[in-house]
Amino acid sequence: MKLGALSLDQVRSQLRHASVRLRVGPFAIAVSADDPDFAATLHFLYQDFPLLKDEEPAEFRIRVDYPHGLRRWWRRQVRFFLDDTEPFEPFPSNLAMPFFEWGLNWCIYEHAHEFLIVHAAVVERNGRALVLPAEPGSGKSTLCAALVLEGWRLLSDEFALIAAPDGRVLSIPRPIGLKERSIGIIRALSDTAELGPTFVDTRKGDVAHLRPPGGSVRSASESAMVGWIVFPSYLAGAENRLEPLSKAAGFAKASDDCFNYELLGATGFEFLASVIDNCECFDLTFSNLRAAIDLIDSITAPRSAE
Amino acid sequence: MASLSSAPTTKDAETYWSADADLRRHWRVWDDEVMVFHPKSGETHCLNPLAAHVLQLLTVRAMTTSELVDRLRAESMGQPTGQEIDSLLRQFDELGLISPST
Repeated sequence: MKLGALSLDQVRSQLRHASVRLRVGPFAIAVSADDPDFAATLHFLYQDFPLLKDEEPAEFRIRVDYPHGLRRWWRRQVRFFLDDTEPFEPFPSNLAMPFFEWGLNWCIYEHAHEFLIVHAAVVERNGRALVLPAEPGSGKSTLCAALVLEGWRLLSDEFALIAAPDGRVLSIPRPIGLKERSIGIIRALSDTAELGPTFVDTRKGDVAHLRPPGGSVRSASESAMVGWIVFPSYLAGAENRLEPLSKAAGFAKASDDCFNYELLGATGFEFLASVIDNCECFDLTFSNLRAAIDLIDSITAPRSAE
Repeated sequence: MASLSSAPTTKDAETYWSADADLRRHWRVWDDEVMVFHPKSGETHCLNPLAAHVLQLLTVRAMTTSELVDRLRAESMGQPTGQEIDSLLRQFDELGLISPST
């Protein structure tokens, strides 16, 4: 059963009195919150995600909560809890959904060390995954959203999860977080782009989330063999260019983009090396989204047999 | 990722050097570059073909600088000088990849 099969009233009630329990890629999460706006956004963005069965335990139990007393009414704030831990300072109360998304990111990269976790967007087409590792501000999410709207399957906007030395990445197709100008660019790119509300003046500027396509969520249990690692870098006014990288250089850059490469030691080396063994690596500098997509198409399009 | 840099050493030219055989467990050859994970330090190193070959030889048995030079010349791995191999061994020593063998 999917979250979208519940009415918004049911979701509000479950969030308030118990929790909404979701399968999000390889993770089982339970979230509770007493906020009708948060409930509506969760219901919209996560509508295709399956609900956990009653007997399935949730590994991340998250509470998006509001302080009691004067703080409930004066400069209202929202707090994020993982079980009884409160890892962050409160946010303004209207930012509950971005806070939840960033908090869930933290839960994963701080705790899920059964995976090698690369900070990267991942999309898949024709059975081969394209991994886009990058720092914030590189255009990773914008590029990821544009590729998804072009028909690529979304595996992740945030993490490439590698669970074994088999060259594959897992899928965790959560909403794609867009910032500032990217929101308008993605809206203009496609009539099919379904974005949630825009949250203004967050710590990262204005933020909105692209709802993951239902097909990507339904295929979330399918991992994909990595075919390409492309390191994107948005640079205003720059010439659009895609340059091959040696595998060793690709390995070095990708390991720098990992959250837990050093922590995992030899396991991290073997997991990442298995990906690099089977893929090609490139640096992508771009100032134009369409040109970036065309450059990616030039290396990822199926090659006809000679 | 660690980088190689030179360091002074007090070892003489006839010191026998060896490398832990564990180094060969986490080793990748991609084109003309070798990536190796060093379990003891947790560091990952990128080596050129000559450096990788020297390290591999030292995982098999302990060798001196002059033995290494002779071996590399016999295998047509260029014409490395004793000074070049000494410098390489100093860097390996500093990174903990090799140790003097008793």
